[in-house]
Amino acid sequence: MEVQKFYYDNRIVKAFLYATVFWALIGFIAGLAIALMLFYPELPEFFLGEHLKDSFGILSYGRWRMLHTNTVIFAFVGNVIFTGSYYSLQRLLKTRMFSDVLSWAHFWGWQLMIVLTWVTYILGINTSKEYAEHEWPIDILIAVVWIIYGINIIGTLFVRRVRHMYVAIWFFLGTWIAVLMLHIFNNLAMPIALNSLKSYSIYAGVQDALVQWWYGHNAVAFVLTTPILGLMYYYIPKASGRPVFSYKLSIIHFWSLIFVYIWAGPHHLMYTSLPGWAQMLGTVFSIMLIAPSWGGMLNGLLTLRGAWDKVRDDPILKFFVVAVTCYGMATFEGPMLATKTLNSIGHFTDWIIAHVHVGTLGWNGFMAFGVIYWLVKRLWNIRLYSNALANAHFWLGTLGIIFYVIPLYWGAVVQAEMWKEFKPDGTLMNKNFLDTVTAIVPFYKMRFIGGSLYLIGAFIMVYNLYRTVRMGHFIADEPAEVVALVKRSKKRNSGEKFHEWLERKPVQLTVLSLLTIAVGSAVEIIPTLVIKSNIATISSVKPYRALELEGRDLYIREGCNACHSQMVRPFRDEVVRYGEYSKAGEFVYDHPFLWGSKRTGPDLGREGGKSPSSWHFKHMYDPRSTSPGSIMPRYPWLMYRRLNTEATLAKMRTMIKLGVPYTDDDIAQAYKDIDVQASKIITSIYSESPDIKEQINEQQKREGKSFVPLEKREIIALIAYLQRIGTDIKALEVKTEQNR
Amino acid sequence: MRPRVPDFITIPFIIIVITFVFYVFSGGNVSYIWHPVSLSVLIISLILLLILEVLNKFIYNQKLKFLSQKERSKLVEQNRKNYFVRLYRSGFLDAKEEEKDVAVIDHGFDEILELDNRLPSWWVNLFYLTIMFAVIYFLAYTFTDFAHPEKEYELDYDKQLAEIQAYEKTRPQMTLETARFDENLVEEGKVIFKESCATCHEADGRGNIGPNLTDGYWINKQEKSLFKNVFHMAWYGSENNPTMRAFGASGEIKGNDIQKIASYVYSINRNPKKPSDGKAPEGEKVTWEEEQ
Repeated sequence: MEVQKFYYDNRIVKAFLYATVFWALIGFIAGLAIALMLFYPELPEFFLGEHLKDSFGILSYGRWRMLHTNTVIFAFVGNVIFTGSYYSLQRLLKTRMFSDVLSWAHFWGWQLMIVLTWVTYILGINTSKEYAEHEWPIDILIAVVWIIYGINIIGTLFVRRVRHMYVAIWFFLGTWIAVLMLHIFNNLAMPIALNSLKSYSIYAGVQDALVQWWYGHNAVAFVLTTPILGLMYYYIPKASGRPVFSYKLSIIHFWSLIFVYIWAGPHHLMYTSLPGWAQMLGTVFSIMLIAPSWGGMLNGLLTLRGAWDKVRDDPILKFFVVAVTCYGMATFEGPMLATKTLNSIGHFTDWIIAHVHVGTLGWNGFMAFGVIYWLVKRLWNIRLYSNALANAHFWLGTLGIIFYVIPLYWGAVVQAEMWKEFKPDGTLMNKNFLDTVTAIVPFYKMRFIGGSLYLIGAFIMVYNLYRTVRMGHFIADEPAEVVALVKRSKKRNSGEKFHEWLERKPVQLTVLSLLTIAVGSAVEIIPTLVIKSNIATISSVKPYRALELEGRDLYIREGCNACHSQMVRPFRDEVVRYGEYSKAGEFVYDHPFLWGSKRTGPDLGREGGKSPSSWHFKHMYDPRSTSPGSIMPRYPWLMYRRLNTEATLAKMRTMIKLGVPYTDDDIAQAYKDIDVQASKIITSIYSESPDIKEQINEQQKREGKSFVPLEKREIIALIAYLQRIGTDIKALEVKTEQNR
Repeated sequence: MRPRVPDFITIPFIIIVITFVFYVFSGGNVSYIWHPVSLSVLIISLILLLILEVLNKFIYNQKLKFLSQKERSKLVEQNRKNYFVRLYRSGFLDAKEEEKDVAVIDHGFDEILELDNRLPSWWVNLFYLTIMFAVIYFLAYTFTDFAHPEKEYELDYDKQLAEIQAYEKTRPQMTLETARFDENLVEEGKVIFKESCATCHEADGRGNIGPNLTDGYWINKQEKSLFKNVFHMAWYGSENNPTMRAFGASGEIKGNDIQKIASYVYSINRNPKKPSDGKAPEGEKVTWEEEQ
């Protein structure tokens, strides 16, 4: 028999490993920054002072929230998936990666994507769709890099020297095909021009919401769960030297997990305007997800049974144990939150933030740290510089998680109670939303401490890694040899079970995974897109006027939907607090939808006409001047910047292509209409608040020719939009109330 | 064969499932569980389950006879132990002992071995249980009003409306005709004013977007006396300004609370000590009649 010699490529693993550690720190710091802004909203002024008004919002909360989520998901977890899979794939398949060129194209393409993400988000260029805020050119880049990764995996599978694919590889393949599908379908958007970064989602309102949360939920499934399970299946047996608990369990839980997971997306939209049947499917499939998820946890933890003595001594195994335990907790909590009772309490509160961070800090973070420590030892062929420091990292991280999540759970329940509390006469106990925010600010402070501990732990890791790397000697090309694989029939051999056969057929396994995840996707999305009765038409709902459309884009630019929902749910307290609950037909022209997923500030679904325009003006300039104790960021640049209306007509024409019924007349009159609406708003601002008029007049005298009239500034467009939201059916609402 | 799952676990589980069915098909109403019909169904199910359990035990023991002496005594031994102790030991202590007889799969996965352990039976049962939950929930949604958000809202609305009516029978709400200034309500009024009115008038009434309420000038004069005029404005809103909306008439603020607000506004307006940086007067100077 022929013995073949070859070299494993460790350089690419090292590159991804460094990228992981680098982006982890950046992502954690971004997270800590926004956690700080939630009780110290003056943070941007602390850095920028008077220049805040010229800063164009580069330090604004709304933009940094998406920077945080995207960096930790795609840059930190993304890179650790690549690190872990490039190392394990080569060993599991006994071959070098298919192509070094593709490996490096993948590496640099992905890092370029992250840098572009930072540049665009900081400048407010985003689509508003959570974890998919990238504008269309970056979306294309992601798809290309992802396909490169896929070709590299499949190519490697074709030159493998091991007949069967280990369960870790099933998870990598399932991940790859699912992410490709989710990414493409959620990001289908129409650019307003080929030379413009601006695009609008092809879906509107309810449909956009469903597709977005089908994506958002399954980004958690197929970026934060399945590939990490793949890592778990390789690194836990390697680090513990124990056999995997059950081969059978790995088959059952792999297929059931990917099948059930895809259905559960609508639980992010419970009690919204999404059709009830879709919400119901979200609930029942979430409940059915418990066992498949726990299958993974069991296979991880039971692999370690009999090695508990090692866990005491080895910090790497400690990280793994806590990671898998957090996975088990989060995957039980998730389905519970998908029940009506808990969802009506937890949704829109910090409960969800806490829930997510059990998963990300615990499961993703700790798996990543374990994998990183283990790999550094292997790649540099040396022990860790200090086990004590790794232990310190472990305990700081664990404490950090506890200090992070417990205050948030507590605060969330306090706040939800305050929202729902009624007086016996049927009025709300806490009429002012702000009171329910200031009540939980102490919890935000405690959460910040938790996050800080976690970050300190990460810094200790970096130091430990640095010293370890300095001590060791990097093995760039690791020699290996193996007996060549004998060809075997493509068909099933006699006595070969179906799954055994499938385990040596990468393409078939990938296609079968795709079919498995396509079922739930098709059943939920296609009826919502095509069956009219799912979204009842409301005749009084009209497209946005030109100025409102521009204002809506500013709302997206500033990331207002990070903190403000636009979805009044059919609960008594919300109807009393905000107005009639939201109807599916109200959102038919909303490309994209802006329902939000968190209520750090009040819901804006019925904001139109509620507060005077001059109040909005002053509030946006400095929220604390009108609402003492508010934690909203300041937006002074909106008061000074001229509204860019160059693309207004292109935007409206794009909307027409997407089905919004603007007429030719609307487009011809657009600029005139902008002036009419703006001057009306100016009139009411000046009459309500003569002091604003004085200030603007003074500014005119001071600036002379460079002066931008108030009606041409961005703030007016934003106010126009805010005063429009939810007003189309207000007339209807009064009538139905009287009819009762 | 596997060790038996004890009946003190299986029977309560099935009873819980049946109770859950009652819960969802009664539209999420817990009180139906105490209805004689559902109670008798539960009792009959319990009796049937006990009979079933006896039959199962019999079949299990019959099956044992087909096993070898060694396997049989092992199972009998395992069944004798406490179920939870067994679960704990298999998770944490007996691994190597248990794995002695389990096949090991080696496909050459970089020295990673896989055991051919059976699926843990509690895990399989959990999976079945959730599937049962899903089927019941699905049917209840499809054929009843269960889990329909709008329907739930209607019920909540009617329930709350009835509660409010009952409450207001004992404590009628003030109207424009019945409301009077009351010194004792000023402090409470201050709190509600801060919640509902300070956005435009500021907490001390000095005015900001809305007019100054501490001076003698008024844009709207609908009533003859000051207190009634304030009550009127809060109830019907201003014709001149849509953001000064009809808080009372729309039900947003109740009559008793408006009385408190009006008492507070009356007191700050009559207080000779005015806020230092009040908004410039708007409207006309008004001389109010004495309150009746």
